[in-house]
Amino acid sequence: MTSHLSFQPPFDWPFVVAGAGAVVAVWIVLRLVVGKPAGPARRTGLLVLRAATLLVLLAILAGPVRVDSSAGAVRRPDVFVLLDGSQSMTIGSPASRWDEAVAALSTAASTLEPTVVDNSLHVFRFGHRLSAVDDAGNAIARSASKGLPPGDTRQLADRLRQGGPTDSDTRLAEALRQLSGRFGQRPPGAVVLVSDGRARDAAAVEEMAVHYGERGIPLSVYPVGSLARGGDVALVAVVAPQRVRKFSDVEVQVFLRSFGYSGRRTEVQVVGLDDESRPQDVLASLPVTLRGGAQSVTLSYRSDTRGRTIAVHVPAQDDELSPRNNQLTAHVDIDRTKIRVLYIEGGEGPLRVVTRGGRRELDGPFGELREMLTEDEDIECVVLSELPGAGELYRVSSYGQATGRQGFPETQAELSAFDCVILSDVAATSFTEEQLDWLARWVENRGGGLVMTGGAESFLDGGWGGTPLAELLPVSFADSQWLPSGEGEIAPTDEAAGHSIWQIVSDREQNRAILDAVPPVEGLHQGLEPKPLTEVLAVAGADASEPAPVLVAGRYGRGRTMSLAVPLTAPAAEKFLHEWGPSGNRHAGKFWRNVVYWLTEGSSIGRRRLIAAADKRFYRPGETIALSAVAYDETATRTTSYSVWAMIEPKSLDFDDDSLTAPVRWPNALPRESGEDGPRIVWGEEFPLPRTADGRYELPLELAERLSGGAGDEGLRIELTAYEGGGDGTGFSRGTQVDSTSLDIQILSDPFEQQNPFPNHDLLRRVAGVSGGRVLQSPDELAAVIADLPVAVGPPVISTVPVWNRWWLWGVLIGLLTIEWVWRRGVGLA
Amino acid sequence: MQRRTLLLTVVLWSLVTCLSANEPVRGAEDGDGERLLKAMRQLADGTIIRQKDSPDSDSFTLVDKPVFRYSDQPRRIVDATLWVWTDGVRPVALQKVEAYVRNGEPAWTICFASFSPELLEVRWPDRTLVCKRPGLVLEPLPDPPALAEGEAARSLQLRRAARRFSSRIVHDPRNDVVEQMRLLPRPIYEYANDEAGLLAGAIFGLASNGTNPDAYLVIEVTRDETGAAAWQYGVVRMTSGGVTVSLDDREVWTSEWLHPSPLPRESWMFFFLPRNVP
Repeated sequence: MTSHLSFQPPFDWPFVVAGAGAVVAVWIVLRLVVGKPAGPARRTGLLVLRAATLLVLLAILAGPVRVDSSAGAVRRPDVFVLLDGSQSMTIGSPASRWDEAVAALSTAASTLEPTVVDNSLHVFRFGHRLSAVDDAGNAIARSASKGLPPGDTRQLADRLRQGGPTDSDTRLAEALRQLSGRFGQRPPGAVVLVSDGRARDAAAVEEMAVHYGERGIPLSVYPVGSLARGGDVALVAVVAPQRVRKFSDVEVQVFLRSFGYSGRRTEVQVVGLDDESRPQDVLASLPVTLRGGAQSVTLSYRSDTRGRTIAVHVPAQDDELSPRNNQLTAHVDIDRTKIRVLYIEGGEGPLRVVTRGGRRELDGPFGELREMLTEDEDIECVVLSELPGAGELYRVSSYGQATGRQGFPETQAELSAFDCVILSDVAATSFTEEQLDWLARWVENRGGGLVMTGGAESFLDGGWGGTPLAELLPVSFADSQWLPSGEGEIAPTDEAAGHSIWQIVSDREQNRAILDAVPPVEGLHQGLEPKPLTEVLAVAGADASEPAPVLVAGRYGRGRTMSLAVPLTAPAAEKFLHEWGPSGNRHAGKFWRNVVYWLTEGSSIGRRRLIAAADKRFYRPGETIALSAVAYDETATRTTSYSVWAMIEPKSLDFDDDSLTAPVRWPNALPRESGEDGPRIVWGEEFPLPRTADGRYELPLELAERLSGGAGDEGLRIELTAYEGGGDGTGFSRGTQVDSTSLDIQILSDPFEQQNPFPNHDLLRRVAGVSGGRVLQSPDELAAVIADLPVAVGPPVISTVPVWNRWWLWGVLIGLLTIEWVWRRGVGLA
Repeated sequence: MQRRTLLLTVVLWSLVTCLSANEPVRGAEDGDGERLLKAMRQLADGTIIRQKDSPDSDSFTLVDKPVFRYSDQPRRIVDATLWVWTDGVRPVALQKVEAYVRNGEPAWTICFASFSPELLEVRWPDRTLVCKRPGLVLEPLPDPPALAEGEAARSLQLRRAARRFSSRIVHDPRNDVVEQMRLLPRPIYEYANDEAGLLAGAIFGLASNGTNPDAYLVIEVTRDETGAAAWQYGVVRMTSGGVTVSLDDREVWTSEWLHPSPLPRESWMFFFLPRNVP
């Protein structure tokens, strides 16, 4: 800034000269008319004072001002940087495309003067939508001003990392359209696009680039991502149950997508992670031939006693674009709902009274199996036994601490409290027809597990032919015969060696050795015929031409059934119970607990009043969820006298999201009471399930064609509640709640982002070409685009400050006049 | 020899009879819904609940309908209802009325628990419970979410917070009979009163036999002195079983196992009444 003194009198010079002449003329006239002033008035001091006063007045009248002059403002054109924040930017090895982009921006910024970028640089990220990266320009400026080395990404990366490349879609054309609304009063000097070029709307992008070019806004591009790769394998989603029973088969559905490796073989693995997320053991693996595009595989592993986090993993190919998308994790908890076993023992044997835990209990042929089962704290065993000579069943141990009752459950509701029934050498005549009907319905409808073991009172010899249970057991026994002295060999078949009931120890080799050493049992039912769709898990006479099935497993309705052709209690099974394995009955106990867990895998519904189901575990957008429910009253009888309401909850409660609706259409047939009128169901909005003629509650729920935000997958939780005695009001006025349950639903889309993992640099080049921009190859070129923009300099800024307008100047003037007046008064002139 | 066998059989039969209950459970015929419900309502109506320090005050209000209905066959509860009393803002007490089979005879089990931070005095026609400690003690919920706007969204948040909890119950410590409890997905009771600074609240049931809630998880969001939303939780027992509640897999609440006897406890109790309703 420069300054100088200037005079800006209020009058022009001719006026001053004329005025001065007029004053002189008046003075002359007065002198001629009045004569000389009196003597005292001509004193030298007074004359000096008057002269000084006159000079001050003349100085003020001259209008002295200080003129400050500064250079005109430098106006740097705005630069807009569009940073691709879509999920395809996570691809890349060793650094992801995102890291590459952020590093390029930061490196470019570190070579620029802070003032260059100050407030004219605007960074936006795009993907599903366009959004500004707050304060990005300042972050870059700070980075540069601190003299950080090139490539330092700390400042900018900190800002950008808050979002990361998470958008599930790339709408570049839409981003360019929206960006033009952010330009302000004048167009920017440049727009720089930092992207891999993989965008949904390529044709529209080119049209927008042409439009930019016509407006004189060049679109320069900075392509990221390597083309020199073979392809990519990506895990898209993993669907695993959130909660499973102990020792059950856990099915893991894996969705993967491959590109560029069609026909190549690989392996999908399920790996258990330890508490610090490190791989611990391979739980399951499956060879897979990549087909290109999306494909799904199902793996299963055996749960143990604790919940665990699993990682599903596909080994990276040598030249794969990104190994980061080759693994996904899920957590599977253990459902430790108590399993209640009703063990009915008909075999005769010595009975005795024993004391356990301070309580007297009756022990007999049932004692060992009961003890084996209850070694597992999640199994409770109620024993019914036939006392010698009594001919009836009596309960000899009961539920937990509750006192027991005599005999078989007297109501269907009481039977439904059990998950598993073991029929050991007990005759059909020990049950009434009604009880047998209850058992059959319990297996079919409530998912109970039933096993019949061998003995003189089992199968045909026990009068079970023609009973309802003959229908549901996995073997036909019309021509069977009990051979009490026959050797009941138990040889697990090769096909069944991997079945969950034969998993005695976790080590595969050791387990095989244990299975090869199953001791024989005395007595065998000959002539049992496995029914279709059953599994033979063990045979007798494995080396014979026609081995006899010994252990057969099947399913009936919701439940599971099993038949064992040999007895399980001593003395017939003495060796099996006591000599299998080096440590007493350890192996036999594990085998029986495995049997119970397998039989009850479908029976978690046992004591619940509302059971809900969906027709599939995962859906595609646009498909329909067939939601159904069954309600039971207090007598365990199916009922439709309740009203069943449902509501949908998102897996992720992000209420900042602009989508407040589920990706589910409101069912057309249903009246809506919530006041909402949109086409989709609002999160938390309740809707009723209509009753059907066959005693169920059913409702088809149509999924939207597109997930919110174009996401690749989305989880829903559907909560269902049964009410009694209520109308159709809202909230708790619906009536009295009877039970509630929930279903997890997974929706898997095939998002554009994952369909082609390669970058599309051709599109970026075309964009630069048609808009007049450049293809930038390095951070230096990126910096140059910003630095080399023509700068506009505005006119100089001039300001004037009156110099006469000072207090001291006016003080001098008033002081001179005052002294002159006082002086004149002192000499008698005033 | 035959005499000895017969004698042994008689002795064992007698033993079995002693070890187990004598009478069968009555099932469906006991659950004659409407009659039982009417009788249960009468029993609930006959319960008078007041604050202990102000016995002359009005009793609290019984919610018109039972909030939950359940059965528990392993415990021979053929039908049961759960009733709620409120002080106009929040629930202060819950009471179960259970149609039970006790030693083969129809009976009622009345099980009461205070949910009040104040001391309560509860009167039934033939007995009284004077609470010695508050039924509900609320603790701050760690890592709470930002409270959402709108009733539905808040209700979803309460459910999500509840799912951070897990629980187990000790039925029989001598025989180590322990069972995982089931969190009922839908709250048994929800409440809010903006004027009283109670932004959202819910009672969740923790059940051990299908649907019978043995303990309750209370989650409330109140407005603190600064006007911010404060998330709190508390647990209330309604069982003699020992209950352990964990939050994010860390134990945060336990109650010791008590011998199951109908004695007044510090803030809850149960007792039996004869049941004439078939």
